[in-house]
Amino acid sequence: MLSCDRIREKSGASIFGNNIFCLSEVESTNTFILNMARSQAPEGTVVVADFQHSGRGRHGKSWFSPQGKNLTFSVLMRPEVEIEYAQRITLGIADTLASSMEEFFSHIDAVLPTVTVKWPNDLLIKGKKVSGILMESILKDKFITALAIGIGINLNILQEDFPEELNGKATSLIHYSKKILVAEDLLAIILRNLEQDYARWERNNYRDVVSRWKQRCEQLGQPITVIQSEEREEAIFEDVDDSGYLVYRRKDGTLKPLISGEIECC
Amino acid sequence: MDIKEIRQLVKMVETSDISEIEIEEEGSKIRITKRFASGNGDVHIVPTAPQLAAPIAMPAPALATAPAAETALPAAEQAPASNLIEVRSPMVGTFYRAPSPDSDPYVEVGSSVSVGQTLCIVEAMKLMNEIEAEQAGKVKEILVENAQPVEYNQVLFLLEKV
Repeated sequence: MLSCDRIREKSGASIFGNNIFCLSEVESTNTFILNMARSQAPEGTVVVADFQHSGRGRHGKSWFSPQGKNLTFSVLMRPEVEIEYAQRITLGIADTLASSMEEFFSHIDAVLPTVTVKWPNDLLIKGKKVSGILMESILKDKFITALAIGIGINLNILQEDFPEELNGKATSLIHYSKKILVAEDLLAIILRNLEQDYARWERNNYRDVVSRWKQRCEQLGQPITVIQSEEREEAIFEDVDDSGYLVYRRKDGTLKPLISGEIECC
Repeated sequence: MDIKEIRQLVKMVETSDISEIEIEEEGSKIRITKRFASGNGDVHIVPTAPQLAAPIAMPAPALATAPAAETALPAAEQAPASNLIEVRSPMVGTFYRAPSPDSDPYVEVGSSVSVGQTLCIVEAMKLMNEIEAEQAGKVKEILVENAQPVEYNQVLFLLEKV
């Protein structure tokens, strides 16, 4: 089980990680933290688990993570803004995570290739997924009362341990460090950076989130497959607009925003 | 006046007994009025000077939602029968009736719901938003099919007051 003391000590963050729970196993860290949120848990509460029985991605997709190999956790936020406005946070978190991984590697004298993003918030290294984010909120009218940010990072899982269907699609940080990584130390960096970035987003009205995200995106201008309700469409990744929606060019030349759905890169 | 201040003002009007406020500052004027048509006190912002035209185009919630609220007015004005509660989408996204494809729906027609009970999810950009009932009631109608796109302010459910 992870050491909460080590995470607190290393992060030095005052809000994120002050109220932290290290569990050996849980159904899902997001479900757990949302239940805590309903019982008035404070912003910045963190739940980290060695194993999630029902770890999942977008709309119930399962997330493969053997016990103790990866870093899986959730953070509770309570941004006091309307949902239309705060949803760009989903792009912001991806950038924070990518920067944190790069910082982590600089501390252990190892070289990590550039971490890139796939819309809206998958993290890739050399085109393979290293981390996924699932965000869930509770709304009261248009305002967020609780926002759970669930994060899974492939940390110490070896390439050969991935199931066949993920072969060639997933990677792990250990593949680049060549040595066992300390989950607490990476989490401490993430929490410290998240605290700083969140304060900045609140200060500047999330103004720089999209532009920072685009700097990490390699698909701009590239052909993609847009998948919505199981329908697939070939298109060009044109831009990400101020709301954070992906803008794609259809075969007939028209532009369309992608609000929910997925993309595949060619 | 920046976006944050306007947002605070909107919040202040929403949560207070004030029905209208007008502020003039450095040549720009803004008026915020609260309407009670649906009984929920929707807040509308009416910029009264051209200087405010530029900020309106910015993707800030209070302002960005104003045009949507205006276009949705005809529907809002058709006040539902007094024993019905409309549950509207707070955002553009995809409507889901269940937490995952193989789970049971949160509610069915005829279900009794209590305050704070989850009715559905509206998803955008991989952010799953649980929409809770703000009043107790009985589900009379579910107006959107599962996994269909929804617009801002679109009516999702009709609940019968209990």
